[in-house]
Amino acid sequence: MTTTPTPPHSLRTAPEPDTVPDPPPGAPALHETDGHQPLRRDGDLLLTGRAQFVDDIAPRGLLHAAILRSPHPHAVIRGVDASRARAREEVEVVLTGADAVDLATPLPHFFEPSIVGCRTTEFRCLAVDRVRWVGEPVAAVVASSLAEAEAALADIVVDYEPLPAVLDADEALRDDAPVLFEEWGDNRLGLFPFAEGDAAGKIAAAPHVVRDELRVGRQHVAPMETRGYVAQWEPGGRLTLWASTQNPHPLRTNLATTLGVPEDRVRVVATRMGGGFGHKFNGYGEEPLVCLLSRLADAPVKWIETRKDCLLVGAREFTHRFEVGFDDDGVVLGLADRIVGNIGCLAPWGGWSMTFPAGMTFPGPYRIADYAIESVPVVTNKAPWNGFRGYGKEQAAMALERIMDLIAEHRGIDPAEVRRRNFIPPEAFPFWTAAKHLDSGEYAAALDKALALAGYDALRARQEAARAQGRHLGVGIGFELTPEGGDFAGSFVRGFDTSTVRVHPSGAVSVLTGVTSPGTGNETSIAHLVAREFGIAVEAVGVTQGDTDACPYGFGNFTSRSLATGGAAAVLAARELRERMADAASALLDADAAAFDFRDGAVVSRTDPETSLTFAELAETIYRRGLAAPGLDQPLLEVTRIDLPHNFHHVPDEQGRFSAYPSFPYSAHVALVEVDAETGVVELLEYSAIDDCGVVVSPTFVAGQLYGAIAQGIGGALWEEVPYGEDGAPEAETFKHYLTPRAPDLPTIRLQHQHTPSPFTLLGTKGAGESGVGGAMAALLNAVNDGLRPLGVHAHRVPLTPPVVLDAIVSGGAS
Amino acid sequence: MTAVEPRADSDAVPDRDLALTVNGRRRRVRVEDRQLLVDVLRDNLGMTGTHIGCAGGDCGACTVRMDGQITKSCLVLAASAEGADITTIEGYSPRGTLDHVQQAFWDLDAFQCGFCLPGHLFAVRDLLDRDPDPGEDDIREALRGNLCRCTGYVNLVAAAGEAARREREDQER
Amino acid sequence: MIRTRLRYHRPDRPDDAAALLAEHHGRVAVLAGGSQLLPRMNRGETDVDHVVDLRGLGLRGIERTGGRVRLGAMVTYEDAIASPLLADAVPLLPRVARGVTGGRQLTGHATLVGALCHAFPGTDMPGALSALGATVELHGPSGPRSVPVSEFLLGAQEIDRRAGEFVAAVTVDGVARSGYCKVKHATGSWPIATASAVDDGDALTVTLGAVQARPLRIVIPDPTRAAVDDAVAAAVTAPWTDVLAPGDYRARIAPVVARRALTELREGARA
Repeated sequence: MTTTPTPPHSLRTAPEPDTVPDPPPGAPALHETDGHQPLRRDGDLLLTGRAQFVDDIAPRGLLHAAILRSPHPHAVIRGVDASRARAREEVEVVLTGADAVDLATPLPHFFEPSIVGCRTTEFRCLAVDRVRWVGEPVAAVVASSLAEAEAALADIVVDYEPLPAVLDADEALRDDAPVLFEEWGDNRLGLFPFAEGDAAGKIAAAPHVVRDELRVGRQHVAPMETRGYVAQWEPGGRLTLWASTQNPHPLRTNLATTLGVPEDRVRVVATRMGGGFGHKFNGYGEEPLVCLLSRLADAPVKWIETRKDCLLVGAREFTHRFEVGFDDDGVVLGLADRIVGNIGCLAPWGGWSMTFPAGMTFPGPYRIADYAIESVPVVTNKAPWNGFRGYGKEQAAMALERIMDLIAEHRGIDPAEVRRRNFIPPEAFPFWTAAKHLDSGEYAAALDKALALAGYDALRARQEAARAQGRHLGVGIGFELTPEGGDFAGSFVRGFDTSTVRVHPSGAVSVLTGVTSPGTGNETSIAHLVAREFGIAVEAVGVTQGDTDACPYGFGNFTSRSLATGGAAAVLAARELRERMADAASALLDADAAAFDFRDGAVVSRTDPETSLTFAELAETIYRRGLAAPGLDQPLLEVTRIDLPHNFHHVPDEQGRFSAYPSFPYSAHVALVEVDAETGVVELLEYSAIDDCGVVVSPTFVAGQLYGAIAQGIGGALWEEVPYGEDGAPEAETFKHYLTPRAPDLPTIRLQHQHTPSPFTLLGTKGAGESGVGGAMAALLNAVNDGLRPLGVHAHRVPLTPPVVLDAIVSGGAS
Repeated sequence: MTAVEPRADSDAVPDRDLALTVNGRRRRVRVEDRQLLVDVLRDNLGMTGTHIGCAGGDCGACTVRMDGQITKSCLVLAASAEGADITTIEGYSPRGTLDHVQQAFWDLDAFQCGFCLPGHLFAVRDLLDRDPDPGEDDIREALRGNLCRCTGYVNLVAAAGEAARREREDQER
Repeated sequence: MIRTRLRYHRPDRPDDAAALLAEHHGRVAVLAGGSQLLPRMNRGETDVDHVVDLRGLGLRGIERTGGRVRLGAMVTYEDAIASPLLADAVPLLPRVARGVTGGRQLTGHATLVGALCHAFPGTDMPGALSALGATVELHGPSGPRSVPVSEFLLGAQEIDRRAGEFVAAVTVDGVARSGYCKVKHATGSWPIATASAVDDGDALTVTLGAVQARPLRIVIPDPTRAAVDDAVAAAVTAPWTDVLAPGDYRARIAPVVARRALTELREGARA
C-alpha cells in the first residue's frame, strides 16, 4: 500500500523551473568559495551602542501600550468593565475586544491552515467572547507612560465564566475532552501522512523490531530582543509601523486588510532585529492592535513585549510513538512513527505548521523504502506556537537518530556503522522520497569526518576507562537532514524573492531586497556577492532591507533561504546591469562588449588592459550621455529580478511524489557527556560537528549560525522547557526558569565543513542557518542514553533535565 | 530627616532631580522615583545602546559601568544612583575608536544580532582589567551573567582571548 | 515597569529608617542590592508605595566581634569573595558567593543579607547562613533585636521582621572547616539543592538549602554513607517543589549533596 500526501490544489499551479540559468561569460566562478569575506556590516554601530532596534524608536509625543491578558486557560467572557481604567487621568485609550470588532477585520493567517487541508477559524486582535489560553489578549490601554498603562490594567474588570480546559494532547484527542473550537467537533487540526511502500507489512515480517516512545517538552525561542511595534499615523491617513518582524511586506499586506487602509498607504519598517528564529514571523494580534491604538490615541504608540509575555509563545511539544523493523545487519526494513504535536491553541501566527516538516523530513538521510509517518497537530488550552528554528525538522532528526542507536544497541553494532549501512549513497542523488527531491549528499563522508574530528575511537576508549571507575560517560551521534527554502503557494511563505540593484552616477551601488536579516549577516553577504559581480569594493555597495517603501515586495526571513533567493536575485540583477554597462563601455571604447572584465573598480578590456574606464566613470557617462551618444542605448542602471532554488516539484509525479522544499543541507554531530548517576545532572564535555550546506559564500557567518543552532539544540536537549501548572498557566516566566545555555554550560564546539554543491541553486548554496538544531538534540539524546547503558535504562523525554534523567535511572530499577 | 527626600506633593508621581556623570559628562535629569536606571539612561538621556532583554537581571544586555563596577542597570533604582559616575556602551571607548575587545569581537565575528553586546563587552573588559591572560574557563566564567542566543559563545570566547593577546602585545611594546 | 507611585527614601540614620518603615508599614519595602526586589516590583509581584534604601546607613562592613564575624546588610557577594577575614575565619561564605550566578554585574551589588531576607528557598544564602548558626540583628522603632536565623526564617519568603524593622547585620560563627555542594540544572538555574557541611569542633552538621521551604540543619553523629543517607532521609519530610524540580527529585538528591559536602569538608575546600 502506498499513501502519499496530496498537495492542495493551489500548489499545483506554481511554475516548474528545473534548470539553473547559465552565468554570462566572464562571471566569476561561484561554485567555489573565494576564501575572503568582509567583516559584518554595521559591526561598529553595534559595538558602540549606536545601532537602532525597535525599542529605540521614539517619535515625538509617543504614548505607551499595555495589554490585559487572560488569567484563564479557557473561559467565556461575559463582560468587560473598563470604566475605572478609562477614568484614570493618564489613560488615553482603553480598547476591549468588543470595541475592536468594528475597527478591524479578523486577522489573516500567516499560513492559512486550509491550504494544507487543515481546519481553520477566525481570530480577532483582542478576544471578544471567549479566551482559550492563559495570556490571550483581552483588552489594551494606552497611557502617557508604560508604568501608568500597566497600572491601569488592574482597573479593567473582566467577568469570566471558566470552562473546562485541556492541556495534554493525548487527553485532547479523547472523545470526552473539552473542545476548543466547537464547530470542529474535536481538537484535531489536521493530519499529515507521509508514506511509501508497505511499512506495516515489512515491520511485521522483520526479524527484529523495536518499539519506543519519545516525548519532547514545550520549548521556546527566547530571542534576546522581544517583539515590539511602534505605530504612527500621519495626517492624511498614512500609517507607519516600525516592527521587530521577520516579514515586513506580508505584514503590510495584512495590516492593509485588517485595518481597511490601501496597502500603498501603509509603510512597515522592519527595524534591526535582536534575534528572530521564528518568534518574529508575522500574524500576531498586537500588530494591528498597536496601529489601532495609535489611531484612537491620535499619537504614536509603542508596545514592547515583556519577557514573561515572550515566554508564552511555544514550540516543539511532540510525542513520537515509533516502531522499526530491521535485519540482522541493522538495515531498516520498515519504519512507522505516529507524531502528535501539542500546538496549543490555534492562532493566526503560523507555528502550528511545524507539524508538517516534522513528518515530511522522514526518512531523513536514510534509504528506507517502506515507511509510514503520520503527524497530527492537536489544539489544547496552552498558548499557541510560533516558529522555532528547526521548524519541526529537529523532530525527525531526534526520532530517526534514536532509532539508529536503538538498532545498534539491539544488534550489538557500532552506532556509526548502523548509519553507514542505511544512508542514501552519493550516487543515488537526486533522490526521491514521498515529499522530498533530495539535491545532493555525501552523508557517510560527513559522518566519517565528524567521527575523525571528534576522535571517536579515543572517546570510546575514554568511556571504557571511565566505566571501569563507575563513571557514566556517553558518546552520542546525531545526523541531521534539514530541508530548507520551502515554498507554499497560496500563502506568503514563498520560495522565491526579489532584489533590485541600482548603480548610481557616482559608481555607488544600492541593493534593495525583499529578504531581511535577523542578525545573521545576509546583508553583508549580499553586498559581497554584488560587489564581486561588479569588481568593486564591498564598501561601495549599500543594502537596504525591511522598509516596504524602499524595497521590492519580498517575504522576509525564514527557512534559511535568503542567499538562494534574494541573494541570487541580486546577483542576476547585477549581471544584467553588468551587461548593459559592458555594452556602453564597448560603444565608448570601441571594443567588444564580451571582452570586458569588471575588476578592481574598473571596466578593463581583456585584450588591451590600457583600454579601460573606472566603474564610476562609466556609470556617470551613461547617466550624462545615455540616449544622446551612439551606442549608449540603455541608460537605465536599475534592474529588479527574482530568483529561487530550482528544485521545486509542486505538481505530483506519477507516483504522487512532490517536493515543496528545494535544498537539503545536512550535518553530522558527535557529543561526549558525563551523566552524574546520583543526581541526573548531565555535563557536556566535548562537541564536534561537520556541516555541509553546499557552496559557502561567507564561511564565518555560516559557522556562526551553526554554533548558535547547535547551542540552541543543546539547550533544547538538556534544559529548556516551559512547563504548565494544573491551573493552565505557563510556569516559566523568566530566564531563571527557562534555562537557555550560558557560556560555562558549553564546551568549545569543534566545527568543520564539507561542500557538496546543490545542482539546483544559482550559487550552488544550500540553506544555512537552521541546520544544527536537530543534530545537536539527537546527539545529546543519544549521548545521555549511551551514558545510561551500564544502568540498563533509557531516557525517553527531552529536555533531559536532571529530574528526567534521575527518574529514568530510578524507575529503571538500577542500583 | 533623610539625606535625599523628595518633594512632598501628594498626588503626583514622586520625582526628583538626579545628578549623574554619564560617559564623562555631568547630567542633571528629572526622574520619577520608580524609574529604573536603565530606563533613565535610555528614555531620559537617550543612551539607547543599553538594551533591555529581560528587566530581571538575567540577560546582561543592560550592563553599564557604575562607579567602576559593572552593573546590570535594570537592577538599580535610578534614584539610588545619585552622584554616580556611569559609563554606557556609547562611552565604552572614546568616540570613533574601538578598543581591543571591540575590535576582536568584530574581527572574530563574536556577535550576530548584537543585542546582547553591552553585557558581553563590559564583562570581558572587566575580566581583562583583572586578568590579562585568562584561560578559556576563566572567560566562560566571566560571561556567566550574560545571555546570547545567536553565537553559542564560541567566537565570543575566542574573541575575548584574542583581545587579551593583543593587549598583552601592546604592553610588551 | 514599576506601576505604583513609588517614593524612594534614603535615610542616613538607622532610627530614621525604622521610623519610615513603621510609618509606611504594609506598603514599604527595604532596598539593599535590589537584585531580587526590583525585578519583582517590575513584574508587579511586589506591590509597595515606598522603598527605604539602606545604602545611606553604611552597613557594608565585615568585622570580628568576639568569637564571631559580623556582616553588614550591604555586604555584597564580591565583598565576601574579597574579604581576607572571611577567607580565614568563615571560608564557607566566599565559597558559596563564588558560585552565585548573575555575573559580576550582579554580585557586585547583590547582598548576602538581602538574599537571606527574601527567604526564597532556591537561593544559597538561607542554607549557608543557617549552617553557620547566624544571628540576625534587626533594628526597629524600639531599637535592636537579635533572632537566631532558625527562628528568623519562618517559611518560603516569610521572615520574622516586625513593623518598622530592617536587618542591619548578621553575625556568624567562625568556622574554619566547612564544605559545600550545590546541585543545579545549568549555570542560569537557581540552586535545586545545597548542602553546607560544618565542623565547629563540637559537632558535625549538614545544612540542606533549597530542599524544603526552610533550611534543614542535620546533626551528623556518624559520617558513614549509610548513616548520612538515613539521617537526611529522615529529616526531609516536606520537600520543596518549584518550576525547575519536583519535591521527590529534591528528596532523592538530598543525601547525595549532603555526602558531597561532607566529602569536601573532609578533603579540604576547593578554591
